[in-house]
Amino acid sequence: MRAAAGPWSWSAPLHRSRCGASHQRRSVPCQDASLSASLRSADGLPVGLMAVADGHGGSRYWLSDVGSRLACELAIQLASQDLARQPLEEGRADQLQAVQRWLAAELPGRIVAAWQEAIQADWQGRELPPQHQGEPFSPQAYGSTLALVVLTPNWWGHTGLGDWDLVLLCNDQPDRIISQELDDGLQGEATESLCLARASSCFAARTAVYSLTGEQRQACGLVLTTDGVRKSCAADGDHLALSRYLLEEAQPGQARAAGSTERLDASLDRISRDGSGDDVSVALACFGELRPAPAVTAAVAAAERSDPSPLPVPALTSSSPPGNPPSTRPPAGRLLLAGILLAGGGITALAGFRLLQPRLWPLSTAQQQGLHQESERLCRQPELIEASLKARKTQFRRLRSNPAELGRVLTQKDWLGALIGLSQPGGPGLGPVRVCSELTQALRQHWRTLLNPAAGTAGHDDGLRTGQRHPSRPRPAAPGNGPGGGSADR
Amino acid sequence: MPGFPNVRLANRPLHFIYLCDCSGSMAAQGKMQSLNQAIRQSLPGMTRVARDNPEARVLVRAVSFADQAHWHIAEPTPVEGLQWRDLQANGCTAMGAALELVAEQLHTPPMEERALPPVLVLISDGQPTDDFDAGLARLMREPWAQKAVRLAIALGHDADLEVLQQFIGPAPANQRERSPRRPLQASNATSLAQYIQWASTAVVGAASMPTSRLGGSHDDGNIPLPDLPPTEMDPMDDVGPMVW
Repeated sequence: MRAAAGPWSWSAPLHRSRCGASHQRRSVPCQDASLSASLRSADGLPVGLMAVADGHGGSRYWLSDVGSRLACELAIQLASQDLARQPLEEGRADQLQAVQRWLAAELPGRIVAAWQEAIQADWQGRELPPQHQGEPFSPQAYGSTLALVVLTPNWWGHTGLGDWDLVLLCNDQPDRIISQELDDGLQGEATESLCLARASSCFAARTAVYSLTGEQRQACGLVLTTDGVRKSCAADGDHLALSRYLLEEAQPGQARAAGSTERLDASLDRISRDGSGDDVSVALACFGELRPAPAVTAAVAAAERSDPSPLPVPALTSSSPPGNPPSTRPPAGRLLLAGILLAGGGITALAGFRLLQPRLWPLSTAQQQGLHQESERLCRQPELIEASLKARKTQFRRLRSNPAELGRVLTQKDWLGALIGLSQPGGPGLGPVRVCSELTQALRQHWRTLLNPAAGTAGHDDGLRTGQRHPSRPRPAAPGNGPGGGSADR
Repeated sequence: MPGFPNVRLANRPLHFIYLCDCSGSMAAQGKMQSLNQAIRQSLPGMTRVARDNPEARVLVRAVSFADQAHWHIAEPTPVEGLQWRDLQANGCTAMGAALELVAEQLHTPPMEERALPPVLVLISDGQPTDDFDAGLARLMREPWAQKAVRLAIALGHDADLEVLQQFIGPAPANQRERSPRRPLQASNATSLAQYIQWASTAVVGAASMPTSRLGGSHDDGNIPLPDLPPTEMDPMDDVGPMVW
């Protein structure tokens, strides 16, 4: 498996969607959609984009085939516009932070708004069939998930919402599912959706950016699928093996040179027919020269068949190695520069994200005292930390999705909830609160697991460096050689 | 070009579990006989639905509860191979124990990661005589129980609608609305047969479909449930052969 142009470039992304066996039998249209695109950044770097979307199906979501198509089109279009105006040469850590925020907040907001506008326009121009005559417009009719992956020579990232899966295949590391929907609080076949009022806030939990510079530059393959593929597999090991096969099947030099994706289509049809019966979509791309690694994949698959515990967390591909966060805060000058650069390109997320956060510091003396006491209580009995945080799983999500929630827990004197909320990546930070290393590590780990079960977030601006929170006190600059901070290794 | 890999593609199991009250009162007025007959008669329809939805593998089990709870059909049995053995009525109503028995099986493993939401149908004519709350709490600790489609059929006037509602989950806000998210009140053999038929065909069909629904929406329960059969709700209006 090899990328099309040069040893360290991405292959042109490929996408396919196939109508599921169940829908074919009922003459229901395919409710999945997928799309990919290639473009150039402002400084001429090649950029790839790939998207998949899964319309919900079922009578309530009767236009979800239109919803998923529009979702893919708009995601690719809006991301392309931003990236075509943006110089991407450097791939520094601060740039990755800004990209992270663009993918987590700015771009989703625009995608959701554009999607809502587009479905409303579609509804107004649509002649309703007899069974839907007189029905008022509802975004639910168009309900769909969405996944978007951005590929550049120096970094790649993903965002989206709903029950899609992203598999990362690397040389020398086990294949793994790097992003999947957590089912905390979701019942049955429930999923997050573009038609939810809170849709844009759902993207952050599925956003991550990975550096491809310096030591992080490794050959890899990405296989993005709608849930129909994974649900067709008996276990995750089968899903990983299937992902590797699909990537090999779509080798640029073979299938596409022949101008055909027939074999890939046939494989997708077989997956649906012998599996879940659901519509199936795949989008895939390859970076560098990915060696076949059947032994590793098979080992993981075999291990999983006997033990369904989660796969190992990646150690080398995130912009900062998980478990080894940078000891210094990114310099304010760099953040400012990145903000200016990105704002010039239409990406104002850096400033915007900060504005979204409640300005809490300085907290009242009583509140600080409450936080200190809670921190001391847990640090005196570190064995309680993990269980205490585990019990707050839902609260982590609420605090992430609703900025007002932090104010609420402070008002209610829920000091552990407040510690969690203050410590969230990009959040207000713990200020002068004294926190032991065990609690710091545990909070960081829980946030990392929530935001991406398999990856650290870019830059680790995670609010956990006490005494480093005040923007007027920038830390000394790292000399540009931190994770993701080096220049491109060409 | 490699061939298709040796991976295990599989349709998704749909576990359908009856929880049947076999207390002594079920012997009265032919209730037990009607229940056995209703389940037996529903099997051909259930088999047809399973055949029409090959992406789901419908697997049936049954728990009987009286003085104690037992697996009446312990193995998840493909519906096409199922032969219903008659249940016998005798004893108390260990409904809590029945829920605990089911809870043990709704754990992963033995539940498959890729299973469809299970369908649990609780059928009772009386009140629990054991610790129902503990049984329900144990059941609802299992994520698969939370995801399950939970239906309840009340036989006659003596059934404890409150505990059956607790098993189902919150009732719809509209009190007058006829809903499968309330206990279905079977007042005679005919309406019981209709509800059993509905649960084993329409609900199984709906649960088999590869569709999604919105997170945070509880309007439809865990899957969008089909309309109830046109059964009279008021036993006084019923024209069945015997009113319970």
